[in-house]
Amino acid sequence: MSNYTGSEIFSSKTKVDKKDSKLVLANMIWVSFALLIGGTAGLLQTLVRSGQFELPFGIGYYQLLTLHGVILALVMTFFFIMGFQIAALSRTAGSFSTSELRLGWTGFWVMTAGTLMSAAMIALNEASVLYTFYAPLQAHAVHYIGLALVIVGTWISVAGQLMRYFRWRKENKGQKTPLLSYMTAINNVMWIVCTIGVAATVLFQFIPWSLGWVETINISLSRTLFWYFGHPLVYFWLLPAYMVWYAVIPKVLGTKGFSDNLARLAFVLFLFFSIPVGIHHQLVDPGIDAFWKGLQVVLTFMVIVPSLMTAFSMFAVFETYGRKQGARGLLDWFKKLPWTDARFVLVFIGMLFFIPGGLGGIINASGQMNQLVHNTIWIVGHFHITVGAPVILTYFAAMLFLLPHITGRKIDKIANRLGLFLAYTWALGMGIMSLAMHWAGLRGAPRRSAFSEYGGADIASEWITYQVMQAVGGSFLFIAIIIAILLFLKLTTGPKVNDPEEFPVAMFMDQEEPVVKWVENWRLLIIITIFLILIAYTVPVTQMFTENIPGAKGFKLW
Amino acid sequence: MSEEKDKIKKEEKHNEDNHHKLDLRGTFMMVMAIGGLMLLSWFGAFILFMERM
Repeated sequence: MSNYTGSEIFSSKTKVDKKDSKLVLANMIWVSFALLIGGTAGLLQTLVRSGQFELPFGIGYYQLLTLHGVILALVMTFFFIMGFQIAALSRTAGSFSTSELRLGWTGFWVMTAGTLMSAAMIALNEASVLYTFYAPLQAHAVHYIGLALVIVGTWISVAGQLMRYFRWRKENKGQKTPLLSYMTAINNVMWIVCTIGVAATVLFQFIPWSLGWVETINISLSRTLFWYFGHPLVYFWLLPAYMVWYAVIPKVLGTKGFSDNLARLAFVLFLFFSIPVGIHHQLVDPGIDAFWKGLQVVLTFMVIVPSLMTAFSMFAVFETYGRKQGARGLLDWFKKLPWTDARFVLVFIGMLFFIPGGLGGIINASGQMNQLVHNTIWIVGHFHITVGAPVILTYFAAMLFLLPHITGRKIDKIANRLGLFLAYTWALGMGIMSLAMHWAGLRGAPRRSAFSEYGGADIASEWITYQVMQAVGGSFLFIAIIIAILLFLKLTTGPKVNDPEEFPVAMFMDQEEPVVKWVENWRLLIIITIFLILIAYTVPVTQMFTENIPGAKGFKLW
Repeated sequence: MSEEKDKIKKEEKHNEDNHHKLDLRGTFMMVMAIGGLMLLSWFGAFILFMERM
């Protein structure tokens, strides 16, 4: 079993262990399947909403929308995150032990079983409740059990990952933990704390209710528990992308990261402030006092701090690199960046999308101003330029080096060119589609709705042009998905080489500085995290039990 | 002579990794631009919100 320390962590010769690689590859195969299925569903949705296309074979629009959300937002991302984090730990801390690896595989199979159960229910049209599964829409119990198993599967895999991380700490007492390993631990701890909410609502509310053991469900409570999980879920998607931005991209450029300590602090702030903020998704919900909504709005805005720290760090890395290459002016260092390296271009385009994504997020979370965009297709545009661009484009960049790294191959010219085409096509498609969604949303176009002329209402006729634009953008995105699948095939087939592609891990300008002690004090981090959650949630959740809220029976509207 | 060169190299390396010696004018401008965009987009949405009240 390997245990990497010092310069080994940053060496281009250090590899993900072979046994661990198989588990990583298994997860990545799921990512590819999910991308293809979910992307096809997405294309069909945009075509339906353009008003020019009807779904064949009795497929329902909401059935397709559920498939799209579950397979992309949950299945694809979860398998990617598990695979990538296992690779990052194996690459920077060292190989997994037999028991840690067994947990990884058990988690993988439990997630697979859960996914197949939910997929079967969606295919049978027994679960067209969308990926947020809001009550009182009621799916078949097997759908909820399947989703619960997916979460349990991630817990098992995460347990193996955390064991690997803490074993490194034990074996290398007093040393700074490898940054990428530390970041996976932060993401995993956040995940365990936040999934307690969704596990509680599914186990104690949805499953008994869908099995008929209880007649009604407390909707306020179910939505609150869902969003207690639902917002940190966004950061669970995002933090692996940030791992690549902070710890991989500087090495791709051939330079150092800005600050190891700053990166760790940013991750700690995400751990603190990503969970006690879920109520900003419920700003127009009844049953929650304005004060608690206001408090969670303030806590939400705290997330701007680590986001801008990240923006600063990335610009600083780019500028420092550009100046080393001879840039002298204010912004000419942009020209010096490696514009022909797909690993960089994919990530950079993702970062560009994240700027309007972040700005939109601030608007969404701004208390009463949320009414401007609530339940409009603006929100759909917002999460497509956050998870659907910076996150997914960074995942693609990671797969670009990870797939050949774990299968013993190299990124050749064709693969690099495919990667560039993927970045540009995705940017074009997502740019057109999300812009149209944002504009239509500001004009009142609703989300979660199939095509309708709304009885010939004037305002609804304004939305149709934007819906056609969404179909055009969706078509480009589908082409990009085909390019991605071809790229993944190219990266995992063909002749093997003796010196496989590097998994780049960057050093930082303050590499020799000691780590700020408290950021590695897990007891303290967990206490602060729980303390903030208790402040933000104790009273609103208690009120949901004490205020005699009437329960709701289940509805099947499809 | 070579000692002197080594010293210069060491000095350059130290400056490269020293946060205080970096030229980050462009970074400052880009981060300020993002801040400006943040204010602009937020007030844009706020004006629209007030108009529709």
